[in-house]
Amino acid sequence: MKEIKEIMLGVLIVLCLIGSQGTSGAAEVAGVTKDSILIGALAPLTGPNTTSGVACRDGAQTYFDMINDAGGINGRKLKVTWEDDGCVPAKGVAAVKKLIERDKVFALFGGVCSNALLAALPTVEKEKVLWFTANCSAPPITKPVKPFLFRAGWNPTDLQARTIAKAGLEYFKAKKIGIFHMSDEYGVYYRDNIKKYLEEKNVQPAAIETCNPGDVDFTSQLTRMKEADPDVVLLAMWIQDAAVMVQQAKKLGVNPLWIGAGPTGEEPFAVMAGEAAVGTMHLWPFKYLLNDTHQPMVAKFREEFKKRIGEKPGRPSGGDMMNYNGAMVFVEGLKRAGKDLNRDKLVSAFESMKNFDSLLATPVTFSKDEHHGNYGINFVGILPKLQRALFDIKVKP
Amino acid sequence: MVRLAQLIVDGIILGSTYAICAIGMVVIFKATDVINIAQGELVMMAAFFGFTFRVLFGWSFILSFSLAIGLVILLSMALERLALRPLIKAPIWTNIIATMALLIILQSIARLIWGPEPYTFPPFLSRIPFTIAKIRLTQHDVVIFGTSILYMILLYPFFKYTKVGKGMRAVQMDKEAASLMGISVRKMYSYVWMLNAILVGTIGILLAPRLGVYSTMGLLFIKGFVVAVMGGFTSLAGSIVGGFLLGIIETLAGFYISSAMKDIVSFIVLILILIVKPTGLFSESVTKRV
Repeated sequence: MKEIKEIMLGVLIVLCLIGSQGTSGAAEVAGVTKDSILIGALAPLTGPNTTSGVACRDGAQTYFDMINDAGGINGRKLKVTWEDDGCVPAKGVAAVKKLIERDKVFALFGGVCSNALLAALPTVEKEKVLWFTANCSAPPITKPVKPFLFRAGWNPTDLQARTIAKAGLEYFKAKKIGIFHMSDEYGVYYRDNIKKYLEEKNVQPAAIETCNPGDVDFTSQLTRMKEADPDVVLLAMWIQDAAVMVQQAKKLGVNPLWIGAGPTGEEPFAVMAGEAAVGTMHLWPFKYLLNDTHQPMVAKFREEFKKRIGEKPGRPSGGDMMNYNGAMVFVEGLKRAGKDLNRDKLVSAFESMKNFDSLLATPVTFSKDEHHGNYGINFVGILPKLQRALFDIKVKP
Repeated sequence: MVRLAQLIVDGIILGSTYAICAIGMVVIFKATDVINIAQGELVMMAAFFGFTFRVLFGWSFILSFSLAIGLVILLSMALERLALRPLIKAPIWTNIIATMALLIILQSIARLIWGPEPYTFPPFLSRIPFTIAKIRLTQHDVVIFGTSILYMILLYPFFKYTKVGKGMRAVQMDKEAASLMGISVRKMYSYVWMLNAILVGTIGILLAPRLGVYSTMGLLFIKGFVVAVMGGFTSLAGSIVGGFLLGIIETLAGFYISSAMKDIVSFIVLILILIVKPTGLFSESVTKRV
């Protein structure tokens, strides 16, 4: 009996050795096996930015699943592990460390809040892992160029801020202009860049109001805003907070033209705010609206989203499409890196991308000196019955 | 003057929701010695139940409201029976940790069932504002405030005249004596959790059209705890006054000092109250036999 046990143990050890040799042979590159590529993905799936986080996950995952159903990339299926960064730097760092050091992912995708991404930058640079984002718009992500960070989607925040300020001042001819922003990094950065633009034009903001993410009462800010009586207010707020705020504004009789930054352009804002959203304008990064289903790419996106995620009130949203589009760019980079995949080749493949056209947004071009891939902004307006329309507002920041 | 009145009215409406959450906490604490940190999560679960019946199943608001309250009552009683009653003789800190665990568990369960995304809850009343004495209100404001006040008023005859209310008071005063008088202390524990569920469940469903429904919305009601502390944690009147006070302080501080400072000012006021009156605004005197 003892001999049989020893023989079994010996066989087991030999099998383990053979197995480990086989594995090490195929897994020389972290996260890459013969038939799969492990991708780490991040999004805020808790906290005040959950709406944008869920859109990041669902939009991108829709495209990743489509790619897998079509056979994968160069014969390898994408395995995507999503982690919640909560838009909190400490959580972002922990999530990135977990993905890189424990899960051994090949590359990173996603993120919504720049603060969480930038906090994790030292880990990303140390491990030389490429991170592609469609949402995170803080300029320092790509200026100066960070070797492993790439973005295609939203314009950098400073350009966005200048764009809405310019639209308010030049297109809508605001006599008095106000700013309503969140107290977080995103909102403050937006405010500072709007103020900078207004200073250049010798315009003093009539009111600058702030709120904390997750606030539910805006009476004090709106009362002050009412007294300042701006005809245009530039809005740098997250979806849930902005939706509650504009409802209260309507109640208190504060009725300026609200020009929103990116998040409020997404469908859930109007769905949550209801009629209070009518007449508001927002940045919109695509060539088309989600209801432009006569456009084949939009129709395809909607069909796939419905099949894989399902349609819900306000979904699919602009955020879903943003990350679906982002996933297309990311997958294009992976394809270009070839079958013999490694991290250096992936960076080179991204930097070789010229005029890659997803047909949903403006074409993407990266180079060694430019890791922000595309520029282009439209405006979407919310019409009665929450219909939406693109507005041809020609303002170049 | 109108401006000041508007700020105060909005503060009172906001404060009435804080007050209801605080009342529920105080009722539970007085009867069971449990400080329920997961109070906001019951608000959240009620909102999700209401959302499921109203939006996903398309049932009428009244039916959805009633069923949601019923489910929150069952959930509350189950939590009390399964998680807190076994800790009945444990120190207060053990109970606090247990309710903190419930907070995390309920949030996680909500995320598993409904996902992390926020949902919209269709308004059941007009959002178009109207004016009374130049103060702008919506039907929604009136219903939230009116319901809160109605509950506050009904609690008085409930505790004074009903058998269950008297039983709860007896348990709050002296559990052993109440037990000797034939009152089932354990039943009363269930009843206080049931009462709390009705209070916070109502707030959850009434606020859902304004705030949306999402798994972390319970954290917004952590201020109910602040109000309960402000009021002395044993006084229902203290919770009511504390709720209104906190709501008004928030709106006035936000306007006259800075909107970024309103939470800071609120908490400074709380600390000042506790320095001047460490047992809270309306604390009931505690005597210990030596």
